[in-house]
Amino acid sequence: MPDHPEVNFDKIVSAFYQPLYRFAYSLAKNEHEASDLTQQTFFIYAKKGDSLRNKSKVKSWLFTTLYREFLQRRRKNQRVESHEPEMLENASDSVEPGISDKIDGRLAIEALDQVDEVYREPLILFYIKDLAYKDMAEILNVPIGTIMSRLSRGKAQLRKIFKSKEIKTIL
Amino acid sequence: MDRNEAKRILSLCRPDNEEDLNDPLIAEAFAITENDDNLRIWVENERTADARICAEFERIEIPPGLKTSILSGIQAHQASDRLNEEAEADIDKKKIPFPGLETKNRARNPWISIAAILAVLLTISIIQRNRTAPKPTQIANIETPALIHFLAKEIKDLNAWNFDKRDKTLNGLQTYLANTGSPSPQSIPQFAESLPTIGCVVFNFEGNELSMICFKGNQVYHLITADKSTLGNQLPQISKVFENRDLTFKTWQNHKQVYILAVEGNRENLPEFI
Repeated sequence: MPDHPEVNFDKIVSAFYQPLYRFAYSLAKNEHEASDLTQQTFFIYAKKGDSLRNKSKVKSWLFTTLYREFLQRRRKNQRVESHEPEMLENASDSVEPGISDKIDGRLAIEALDQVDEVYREPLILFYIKDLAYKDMAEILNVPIGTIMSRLSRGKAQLRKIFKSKEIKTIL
Repeated sequence: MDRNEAKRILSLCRPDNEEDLNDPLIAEAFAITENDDNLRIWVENERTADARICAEFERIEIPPGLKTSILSGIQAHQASDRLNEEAEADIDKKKIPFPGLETKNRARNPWISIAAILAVLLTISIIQRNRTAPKPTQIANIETPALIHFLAKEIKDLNAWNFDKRDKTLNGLQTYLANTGSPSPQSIPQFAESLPTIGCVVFNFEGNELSMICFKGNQVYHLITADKSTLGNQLPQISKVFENRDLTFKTWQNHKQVYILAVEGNRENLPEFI
């Protein structure tokens, strides 16, 4: 458990739970899974956070942990899906049904869903704004130059999609 | 730095990110905009568009109570840690009388040392047993029958090409099993009666056949059937739940057949039907 404990932990949760949740939601596109990922991330921090020597790294450590947890779950789900392909019908990767009616920020999430997958994660981190490029590179485990070029291309794609969605919404 | 490079760099600059603003490369790119009106307008448009997308992300609602539930979850975790520490301290207290013996005495009589060690081990094992009384599923795991281990492996290895027969109707699969002389379920749990099926497969366990029909609901249900005369002795007479390899198995028997229902995950995923 990090030292010490409750006050410190409370501060860390207050500072990061919102951007972490938004990151989780953008990845999972599902409120339940996003909440679960956020909670799990802090739970892992509570268990292992004291091994984090450089306390200034807490933010990127939390994002990295959440991202790894997401990937791990996705891999597990993919194993289940390949085990029974028909289950794919029930477990599509698209935005949670009914999302359009119940959540703000839907435009961004829907637009992101149409961007090439490789650009999606850097874009989410870019628009969450809290992170430095070197942190993004660390979280996604790719060189910083790759992050930059993916962002350049991804932004162009997202911008186009976003614009057409905005027009549809206005109409 | 040329104009295109400046454009690329500026497109990645977030105006409210301190680190970006202090970046010398970005500063250099900004300097170019001072003498280039078109570039300056382009940067402004870029920022407006980014700000709109950012605002959309910020509108993702945070579930009310998320923070409280994170903090209370952690408090529960801390409390459980404290309980464990206290339990360990109790073990230590109970150990005290035994090492209290003088080294000389122990050397004089080795049996006293051996008895002391055995007593300590016995105390620890009693405390441990009381402290972590296994849950019913753990008990079940200790005695997991070989048939369940076998089925867990088969289900984990199953893929779409392993089915002997694929059919969306239960009737089609039951007919197939009956025609091939394999065990076909005589009674179907009520929850599964209306579910579409995926297919069936016949396994051979220690020379005896058992069939499995897979149903597709909000998860996949595997109903395994065997003749009681051949595999009845492999499973308990009364209904029981086992967990193995991330799968949960519920077993029951009637006078002629043995049934096993398997689902992914823990026992909470089992439907209520018996």
